[in-house]
Parts: sequence; structure tokens; C-alpha cells
Amino acid sequence: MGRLQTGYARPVTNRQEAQENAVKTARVGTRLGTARPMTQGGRYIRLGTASLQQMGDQFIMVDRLDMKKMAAKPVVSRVLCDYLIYVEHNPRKALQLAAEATQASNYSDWWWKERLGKAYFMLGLYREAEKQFESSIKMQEMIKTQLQLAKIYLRLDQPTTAIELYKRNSERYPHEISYLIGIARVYDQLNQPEKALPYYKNTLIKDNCNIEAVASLGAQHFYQDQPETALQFYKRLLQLGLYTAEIWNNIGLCCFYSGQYDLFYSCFERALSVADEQQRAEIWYNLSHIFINLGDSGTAYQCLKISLCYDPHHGEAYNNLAVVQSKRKEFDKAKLNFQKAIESNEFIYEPIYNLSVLHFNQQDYSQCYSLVQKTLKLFPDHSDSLELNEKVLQVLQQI
Amino acid sequence: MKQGYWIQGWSDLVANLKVTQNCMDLIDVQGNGQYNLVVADQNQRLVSYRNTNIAWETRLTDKPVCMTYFYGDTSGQPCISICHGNTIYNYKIFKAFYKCQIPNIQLKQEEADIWKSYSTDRNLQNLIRDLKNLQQQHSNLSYKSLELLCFQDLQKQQELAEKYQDSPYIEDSITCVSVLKKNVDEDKSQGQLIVGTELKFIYIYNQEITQIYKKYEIPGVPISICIFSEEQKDGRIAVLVRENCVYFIGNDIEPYTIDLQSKPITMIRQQRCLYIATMDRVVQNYQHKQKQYQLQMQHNILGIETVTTGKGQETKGLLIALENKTIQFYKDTQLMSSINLESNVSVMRFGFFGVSQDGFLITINIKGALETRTLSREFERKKQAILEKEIIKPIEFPPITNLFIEQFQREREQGSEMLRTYQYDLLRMRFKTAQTYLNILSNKEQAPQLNQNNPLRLSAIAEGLGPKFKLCCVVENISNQPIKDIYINYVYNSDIYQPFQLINQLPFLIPKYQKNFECYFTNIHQNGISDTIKIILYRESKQLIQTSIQMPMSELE
Repeated sequence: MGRLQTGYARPVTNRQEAQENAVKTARVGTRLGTARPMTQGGRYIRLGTASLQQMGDQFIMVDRLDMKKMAAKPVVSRVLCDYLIYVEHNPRKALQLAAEATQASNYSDWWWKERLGKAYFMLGLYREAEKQFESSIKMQEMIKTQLQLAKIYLRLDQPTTAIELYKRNSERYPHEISYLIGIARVYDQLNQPEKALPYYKNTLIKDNCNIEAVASLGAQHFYQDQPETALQFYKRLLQLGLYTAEIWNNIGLCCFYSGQYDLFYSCFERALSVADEQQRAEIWYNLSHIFINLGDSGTAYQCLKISLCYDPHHGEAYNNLAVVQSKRKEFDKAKLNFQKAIESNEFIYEPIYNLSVLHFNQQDYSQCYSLVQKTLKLFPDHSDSLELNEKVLQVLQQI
Repeated sequence: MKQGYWIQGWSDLVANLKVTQNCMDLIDVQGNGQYNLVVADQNQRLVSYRNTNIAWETRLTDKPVCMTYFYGDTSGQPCISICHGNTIYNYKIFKAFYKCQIPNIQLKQEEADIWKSYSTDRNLQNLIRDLKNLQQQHSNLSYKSLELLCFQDLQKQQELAEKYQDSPYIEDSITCVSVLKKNVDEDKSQGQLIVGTELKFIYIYNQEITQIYKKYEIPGVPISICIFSEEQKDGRIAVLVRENCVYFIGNDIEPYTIDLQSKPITMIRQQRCLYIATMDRVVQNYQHKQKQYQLQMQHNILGIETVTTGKGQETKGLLIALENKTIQFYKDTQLMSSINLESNVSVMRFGFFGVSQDGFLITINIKGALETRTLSREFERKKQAILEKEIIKPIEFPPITNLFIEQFQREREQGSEMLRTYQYDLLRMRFKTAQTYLNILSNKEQAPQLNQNNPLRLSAIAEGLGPKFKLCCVVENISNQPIKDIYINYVYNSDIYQPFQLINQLPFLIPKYQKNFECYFTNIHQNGISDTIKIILYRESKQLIQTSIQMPMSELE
């Protein structure tokens, strides 16, 4: 089946630093889709952003600031702290400031504790961050702090603790969907999508515009052989206003697999028109799948070549290209492409298995055997490679 | 499916027993509960094994055809009957007991007349001519006449005619034998001997084997007889004949036929089921005169045997001996286990051996070795697991949604428009693919990657934290020809990068060989920003392959 794209590129859990406009992130916050106004006490971010935008780089000489003096001023210190965290991305300085300020406020201000926790988090000192968040929560229960605490647990690789936290809080705040989404995300990442299903559904009951839930449910239905239901979900995403290449790609695939052959191509055309290079590679890869389904291996070959042109590290495309080539009896090229596929993506077992079958058919049994062993290491229950393993052992024993 | 379910017991590899089907049985010879293995060997011996020793051995007068045992009287000791030719030899408690012969058959009237006329006028030519005429009319001549007509040599024919002209009778010979139980279907209950002959007769003897109790004439030559019910009930007998049929005969029942598709090998009965093995490698199961199932084998079948438990005669399964030196154990249609042997089986039997309560499988193979095996206790426990593993689970389908039905209806109603749009779209799709492909091919930058005849493969990795970077490049010649005169060109932004130790020419590259080369760049920009560096390989001013590397951010000095 073709590969869907939405729903798995999660916003929060992406660890890469956003090179985008840092001011924008400061305004919107780190969670997509829940643009809450910054009304936590005393932070006049909105007024601040206008002036920050005008100034450009090098607004404040951070090194020259005296933290003690800053900490004494309640309003400016908070603004400064946020600036250091969100704009300058300088958690060390933010930490100093927050520590001074907490001391100055006699350890009774929950806000500074929360900011301390955040600074520790950015520095990677998770246990200290956890302590700070917990003490902040004791003083003042805030949803944001709880969510950050859960993030720590996820970083510490304790998904069950995170899930418990989410569950406890979702009972206390029944209308807050971030907890439900959090649980569902964790289950998805634990590779248990069937457990995530009810939580996504719950989220949609409470907030039927939640993009992540809609997209994830669409993907699950697609992979559970119900493309028409998946189609409904993606249409909803269109209604919500998204017009990305990924959505059109997914809609095209759903149409094709649910049998509506007159609609799918226009979806792909639209997808191609709004796509950038990486996305183009994926769309052409999916088109090659459609041609393979229609039986036209020549056009599928062309599509795969195009896809590889846009993304030279696309393991699955190399694998499929090699399969098409081996059907045409171009075995040398097929071998090369299988090897490229193996190199580009460590975790897929198909090219290793396919290469071992190729070697078997060309009576190169020792190579075949070593490759089958590699496949079985990756995927011990693969019945085809178990059978091949037995066949090869039989042949080798006879020699 | 381990061989381990059948545990090998005593075996005598040099027993030197040459046995045919139906010449081996497990008999309680002395009536004391200890079952002996009695074998009628083709070397004209009758051997009885008690446990691991030969208890008794005697010489037979001729090569045995078949053997069975029955309880004729109430003494509890069976009478072992061995048949060859037209005589039945009966042994009781290791002693020769009684011998009887099956009756000779009278020639048919017309044939008898011809032979009579020969005996009066001794005219060989007339005899031959008349016999030939008769053959053309009926083709049912006795073997005497057929033998005469076979020979062309007049001398030989004269001799034969002299030999045969005396008696109007022809000798019959026995093909198979079985036991018809009188009233109870148990191992030690009283029974009567049934004999099948070459000339298509079935005789049922009385219990003392002194006279023939009943006689049946069947349309084919019997090779195996199975008893379905006791004599005092309807006495149903199934007879397997050479002419690809099974006939059912009995006291008051209508004769019934099952036709087989191929030449039969053997037939056994298990309670109400009949298993028939035929030469097209199939074992069929019939019950109530209807075929229940059939098992297709991959090799020729040598014999079949049922596996039963205890006194209840419950079936555990069916053993099938195949020509690829295995015995396969089936329960209904599922293969439970498979035994590998050293050579093909010539005869096998399952039953009690010695005083044990477990059944033993005795096999004699074509090399004359005798082997015993028993089913391990583990099998009972594992049986369920084996059966479950073999059962194929159906694929779970998701439920059909309303949406699916609506879409289906739409397809039905607007099918032709959908198809038209689809075909048009398909053309557009193909066109667009071809167009994009062509664009890429003509785009000089990306062309070498797609060029199928490209003989080189180039990959590069950037190493280092900066400001000095090392680019490790690997060039591989993937064609079958060696390549020489390759030059390298580097494209970089000279404000950002400064090269250091660049290589401009590659040596002779032999096929399937990887060559590594390195080049060094220093990042001279004050902020350490990154940019791409292109490496182009070309030959005779024609670009072969290029790669562009995105350099990482450099640490500042």
C-alpha cells in the first residue's frame, strides 16, 4: 500500500530546533492547534512581540545582564526570562535568572518554579526539572505544568508513568483534550494503535476540530482495510482548512483503494502542485504503487526513478525499483538497488529478504544464507524467510 | 511433527524376512494373552516371534500367498491358516492341524464340449479352430485353453492338449482370505474363514473348515476382503477386486458397487469406515457407501494400516507407507507425524505385541529387517496442539460499513461514467509521468543519476567539526569494463570554503572495485555558516556523475 504522511509527523515530540521565526513560536506556544492566549499572570508578551520584531538580531546583550538586579524587578524579570528561553534559547542564563528570582520571592511563587523546571528540561537535567515541576504543581495546579511533567517522563523513557499522569488529570479536567491526545500519542509511539483508538475518538467528541486526532484515526482506518472510512476523515481535514500535499496524497490513495477510480488522479495532481521536493518523492512513490496495482510495470518503473531523483535516500523506492528490474531480468542492476535500499534504511527487512531470494535463484547459496539470517534477526517471525532458511539449509547440507 | 512421537523399540536388522502383504500378523497363539508375531516368509518358513526371540519355526510346503487367524472353536486358541495354491494349511498351537483344498471348477459347457470332442477324435487343428471361435464370441476361456492358443509351436500345443484333455475341471487358486465373525465383532470371538479365489468365487467355510458353508460368485477377481458386520446380522462383506471396484455382498442385502478411479492396492476397514488405497497415490475414505474424503500423497503408496487404542477399538489414525521411505500418520485429513525409515516398507501391522497394553507398529522392510515402534504417551497430550497448528485460521475482515455500500451503489449506477473518467485520467497520468521523466532526463544536473548506463557510483560523507572538514568519497565502478582518465572537479563557494589538498584525477578503475579518496576544506567564514559543495566526475569533458554535499555548521575557532 502507499505510504500515508499525515498524523505521524508530530509537533511536540520533534526534537529538532525550529529554525523558523522564533517569535512566532513564542506567540503560539509549543503545541500545535491549541493557540492559547498567554494570560498567565503578568506576562505582557503581546506588547513585547511588536518591539522584538522591530529590533532584529542582538536585541539584548545577555552576557552583560546582572541577574540579581533583574530578579528584583518583577515584571521585567518575567518578560526577560521568557525571552531568554523562547527567543535566545539560552537556558543557562534563564536558569540563573529564575534561580535568583525564586530566591527573591522566597520560594513561594509557582511561576518561577515552573520556569526553573523548564530551564532544567532544556539543559537535559530531567530529574531536577521533575522536582521543580512537582513543587510548582503543589503550589498551583496548572495544566501546562502537568503537561510538561508528562513530557519529562516521556523523555526519561517511562511511558506508563506518563500515561498514568495523563489519566489522573483527564479525570480532574474532563474537557481538557491535551491529556487525551497525550495518551493516544504515547500508545501510538508504543506501536499499540488499537489502544490509542478510543482516546482519539474521545478527543474528537470533545473537540471535533482536532487535526491530530482526525489524521491519526484516518491513518488507522486506512491500514485496517477500511479506506472509505479513512476517506471521511481526510475530507474532514480538508474542511478544517488544511491544503497540504500530504492530505491530497492521502485522499488520492483512499479513493483508489476504495474503488473510486475516477477521482483519485485529480487528487494526486493537486498534491503534486503544492508539494516540495521531499513530498514529491513520496507522491511519486505512491503513484508507482498505483501503477503496480494496475499492472503497468513500465510506468511504475518511471515513477520510481522520478521518486529517487527527488529523494536519493528513499529505501522503499530502491527496493521496489529493484523488484521491477528483477522481473525484467536485469539482475545486476536489481542487486545494486537492493544494496542501496539496505544502506539507506537500516530497519526495513524487505530488501534483505528480496536480495537473498535473488541469490537463491542464482544458486549463490552462501550469500543467500547470510542474508536470510540478517532478515530473521530483524524480523524473527517472517514466515517466508523461515521457509527460505530451511530450503537453503537443505541444499547446503546436501553439498 | 516430530518423529519423536513414534519411539523405536526392538529391531532385528538381519532378520532376513521376505514377506508380502497379508503374511504377517500379531496373534495370541497359545491363548494366554501374550501376542506373538507370526510371519509367513517367502523363503517357505513360518516364524513366530515371542518378544525378541523366535519361539517357533517351521517349514512350509510352498510360498505363502496370505495368512490369517480365526477362532474356530471355544478353546481360546486360534487356528492359523496359511494359503498357497489351492490349499489351506491350518496350524494350531504350533502344530499342523488340518489341510483343506478349495474345490476345482468345472469348465463351461461349450468349452467342455470342445475338449470332449478333441478327446474322441484327437484333431488338434479342429480343437484350435473351435477354441478360437469360442474366444471371439466370449473371450472367457479357461486358462488351459488360453495357454494352448498362446503357443505357435505345434509340438508344444500337442503336448499341452494331451495334458489337459483328461479332466473337465480346472484348478482354482486362492488370492485372499479373511475371517467372518459369527455374532460379536471382537478379536477372540468365533469366526468363519472366507476365501477369495482367482476364478472369481468367494467361499465361506464352516467353523471346522470341513465344508463350504456359502458360495458367492462375483464379477471380478478379489484381492482383499473386509467384513462389515457379523454373520448373524446381515453378514455384509466388502470385496476389493482387480477391476477397480469394490463389491458389497451379504446375506439379504442387495449387491452394491463402488467404482474406483485407479487400480486398487489395498483396503482396510475401521469400524464403519473403509479406507481404500489406489495406484494414483490416493487414499479414499468411504462411509455408508459414500466417499467422505480423500488424501493425496506425493509418492506411491505401499500399504495402509489403522492405529487403534485398546479394547474400544477407537481410531487414533491411519498409517500410510509411502515409497519415499516414510510412513505418514494421518488423523482424518491432517498429517500428525511422519516416520523416516532406512528403506521402503514391505509390510506393516499395528497391534498388541507381547503383553503390553500399548499398540506396536511392526514393520518389515524390503531388506528383510524387522522393526517395532510404539506411540509415545506424549502424543496424547500433544495431539490437540498438533491439530490446532494445522488448522488454517481464516483472515479477519473488518465489518462492511454503510459507506462502502453507498460507494458500491454509486459504482453500479454510474459505472460507465466512472470508467470513462478513469480511462481518461489514466492517459493523463501516464502522459504526466512520461513528461516528468523526460524532463528529468534532459535536465543535465539530475541526468547522470538516472542514466542507466552510468558506470560509476559515487557517495560522499563529510567528517569533522570544523573549521577543517574532510570529505571522504567512495567511487565504485559498477560496469564490466575498466574506466580510465577520470577527472574530478569541485564546485564550492570560495567565500566560505577554502580547499586544501584536493585530488584532481582518479587512477585506472577496475570493475567492481571501490576507490576511496579524500579532500579537505576549511571553513573561512566568520560565522561558520554551511553551504553545499559539489563534486563532479567527468571523462573526456563529458560529465559522468556528480554529487552535492550539504556541509554541516562549523565550530568557530
